[in-house]
Parts: sequence; structure tokens; C-alpha cells
Amino acid sequence: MPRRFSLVVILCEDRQQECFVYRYLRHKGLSRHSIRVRKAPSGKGAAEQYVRREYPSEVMTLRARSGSSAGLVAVIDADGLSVEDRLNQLAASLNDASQPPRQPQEPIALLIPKRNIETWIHHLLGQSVNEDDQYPKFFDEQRKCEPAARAFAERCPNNLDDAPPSLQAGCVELVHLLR
Amino acid sequence: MLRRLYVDNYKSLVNFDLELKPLVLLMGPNGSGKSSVFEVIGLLRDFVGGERSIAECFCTSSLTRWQRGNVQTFALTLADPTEPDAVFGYTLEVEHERIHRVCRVKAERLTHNGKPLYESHLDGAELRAALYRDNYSRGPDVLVDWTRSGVASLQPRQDNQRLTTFKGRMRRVFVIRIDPFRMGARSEGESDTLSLDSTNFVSWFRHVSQSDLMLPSRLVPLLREPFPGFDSLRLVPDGQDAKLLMVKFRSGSPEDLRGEPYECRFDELSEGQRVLILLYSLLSAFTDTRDAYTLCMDEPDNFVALREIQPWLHAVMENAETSQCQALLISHHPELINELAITHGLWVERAPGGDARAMPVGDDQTGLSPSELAARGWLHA
Repeated sequence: MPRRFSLVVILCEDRQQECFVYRYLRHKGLSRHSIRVRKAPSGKGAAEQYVRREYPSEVMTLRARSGSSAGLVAVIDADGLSVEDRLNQLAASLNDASQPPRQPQEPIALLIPKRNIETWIHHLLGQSVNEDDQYPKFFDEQRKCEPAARAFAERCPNNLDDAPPSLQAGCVELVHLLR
Repeated sequence: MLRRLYVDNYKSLVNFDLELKPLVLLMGPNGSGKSSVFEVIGLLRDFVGGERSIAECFCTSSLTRWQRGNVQTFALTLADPTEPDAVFGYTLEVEHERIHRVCRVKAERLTHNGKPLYESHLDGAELRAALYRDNYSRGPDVLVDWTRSGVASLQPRQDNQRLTTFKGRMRRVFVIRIDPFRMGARSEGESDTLSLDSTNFVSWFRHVSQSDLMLPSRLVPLLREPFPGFDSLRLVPDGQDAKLLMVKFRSGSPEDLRGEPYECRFDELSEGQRVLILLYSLLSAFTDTRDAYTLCMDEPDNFVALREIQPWLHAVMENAETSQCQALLISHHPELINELAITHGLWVERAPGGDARAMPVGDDQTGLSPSELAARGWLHA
């Protein structure tokens, strides 16, 4: 049984990321009312910049309500960078906003699919993937992400040995958040 | 200006105290009690105006379900528009008999700067009232009807002008929850008040355009912006006393005043257009007036196109700053919340199944918009 959240905010780049994380959280028992999505407006430049820009605001908001049993899931594709690079970028954006670094006990999960969310979904749908190649985007996002999110909910944390490392890291983040 | 409202034992409002300013935005979840606040304001206006009896205003089913008390208390503080810094205080206690589902006035009191103008209280089976003169000296005691407001029943006299001023000011409290589907084009007569759902808009419009001949000169330019080709509003006879509200447009570009004119009945316009005409008519009627008004508008943004909300809101804000027109708004709309929440907002919320509370809105400086915080239920301080 996951811990009870009044609200988990998903900060993400696009509909595909939103769909995947939203469905995962629903599989983990969160109600529709306890999930709030903020995703980058489409057609407004680099969506990953939106996540990096809004991440400090979300962390500050969360910290201002430390007793409210709220949580945050930030999702940002690694793209051509490493997961570590993206983590450093997010840490730097907090630092730039004069915010202390993310603490282990804080209800914040950072998901950094490498190379991007499609890599995770293709893997969870049973295809062989690596983290360097770009995989095709899904045009029917809803249908493709539901079985992938369900598979992730079922396999995380005990059955991901063959998963891309970034997906394993994402699983650790979410388990930590929901524990 | 309505400065304070206190309500106890009415629906979800228990020991509920609200401080009010010239411009207030009430926000909060569905069922939190926002509309009940406006309901009470409207009922007190109707009761004090003598339009409705106590049972018509405060039926026994309006008692708070989880309270055992049989008495409802309502109090408001209203600025005296004729004397700077002076205030009227009005208190009404309603006693209910739950079994027979009847109610009566238990006590009614009107004060001016804390000094009495009228007081009544139940004395056994009788409602005994003490009348006071404008200099606060006590006049005669009388027995009054416990089903009606004693304040409403008093006729204007030379020595009760303060009480008459209070009643006049209460008549200038408007509580509206616009239902454009029920707003027709025909009026059988004039009305100086608007009904809650604004179905009598045309009758009210007849009244204000009759008493304020400058109204069209203020209203028409305001309506030309949202309605390209709008020319004028016109009341035309339709039978012995009835009139129809007609809206005249010109075809072609807005700048081309030689365009072919054509007219529509008011009820042939879209719902959103009818709402806009009402909203701007209200603002125009209460601009440039020496009289003080209080406008309580429950979700005025319904039916209105997104691009129309901010211009109207700015007009409301200007009015609140420059005139004696107080605007109390209820809205869930992001445009209103982002514009007003931090400076003029109050968050109304209930504990699960419990009493409503109004809380100030805090600016948490995190960079998230107020509407985003409201969507998360995190807007209050």
C-alpha cells in the first residue's frame, strides 16, 4: 500500500511522459483528484527547458507545504546527455533559485528516461532497446502507454534486471516516493 | 459598503464571520459555502425591504444539519453612505420550531454607530419593539408582527431618516447568478431591483434607463468593443405597458458607420452576448453615481468568451477604485483568480462535513500562478 498523498504533481515535457507517469500512479492506487499535471505548453520551444525552469517553483511550493503530504514527480528526457548531467542541471536550477539541494527525505522523484520516454515504453512493451538510439514516437499515446505503465507498475521494483539503467533508476525514485 | 457579515446556523455557515472590502473575490471548492454567503446577503436585503416574510427567507430546512440549536443569527455592518465613518449594524435572530417547521423573528436590531435605531425581541408570545429617533432618544414601544421585519414596516418620518437611509442602501444591494437562458426580451413594467437569476433584466434596464438618461452614452461605447457592429439598445412598445429590448447592429466593418442597420430582439442574441450586455449595463448604471451600491455576482464569467473576461474585470476594478460601487465576486475562473486572488481574494473551505471558514489568500512567492495553486487547493495562507 503506497503512502497516502493529498496530491502528487507531475511536472513533465509532453503528453507521452504525462500519460506514462499518470497511469503508473493510478496503478499504484492514487486517485484522479490526488494527481495534478503540469506539462510544457506545446509549440513553446524546448520542453525540457520548461521542466528545468518550473522545477524550482514546484520544489519551493512543496517545501512551503511540508506538512501537506504532497509529492512531486519531475520528468525530463536525458536526450543526448547522461542521467547524471540532467540531475546536475536540475540541482543547478534549484541552486540558481537560492533553494537548498533536494534532500533524501523529501517527496520528490526525478525521472530521467534515457534516451527518452519512448525508450522506456518500447522496452516495457517487450522490445529490445538501448539508451543511445532514438525510438519512434507513438501517435496513439494513450493506448501505447497504458500497457507500458501497467508493466512498469508490475515489474518495479523486483523484475527490472534487464531494463535500461535509467528505467531502473526511475523505479528507485518512485519506490522511494511512494514508500 | 458592506463591511462585515456574520452568519450562524445557516446551511454550512456556523459562527461564520467575513470582513469585506470594496472588491472581494470568494474562491473555494464546490459546496464550500460561497454561494450561501451571497444567498444570505440577498435574503437579508429582501427581508429588510419587506418583500418577503421570515418563513420565505429562512425556512427551517436552512438550519445547519449538524447543529442542534434552533436559532439562526445574521448580522451585517454597512457603511452609512451619508456620513463618513458612520456605520449601520443590523442583527436578526430567527427562532425555529423544528417539529412543526415554522419560524419567527426572535430579535431584530438596527444600530447607528452602535446606538440603537430599532430593537425588537420576543417577550413571551409577543414580539415587542422599541423605536428610536435619529438622535437615538427612545420613542414608543409597539407590538410587531413576528413574521415580518419591523424595520421594513416603519414608514419614513422626519425623525427616522437614518433608518430610512439604511433601508434605501439595502435596496441597492444586488445579488445575481445570471441565467441567460431565462432572460427574455420583454418587460411588463419597471423594476428597481434585479432578480437573482436576472430574468427581469429588461424591466430593470427600463428602470435605470428611465432614471439615468446618460446611461446609453456610457454603455454604448463599452458594448462596441465586444460586439463588432453594435450600434445601440432600444426599448420599443409592445402592447399597452410592455416593452421589448431591441439591439441594433450595423453590417460591415466596425468603423463603417454607413453599414446597413439591422435589429435583433435581446433574446435572439447568444447567451454570452446577453450576459455581456447585462454585465456592462450593471457597471454603467453604477458608474458616475453618488449612490453607493453593492454588487454580488456569483460566477459572472459563465458563458463569457475568454477574451472578454479580462476587459470586463478591469472595468470592475476601476469602478471599485473610483466609485462607491462595491463588487463581491465568486469565481472559479483562472482569469479572475490570477488577477484578484492575492490582492482581493478570500478562500472559503469546509472541513469534511463541517463548518465553512473564510481564509485570507497568501502570496507564497513560489512562482506558481494563483489559479494553479487554487487547482491544487493550496491557495490559502
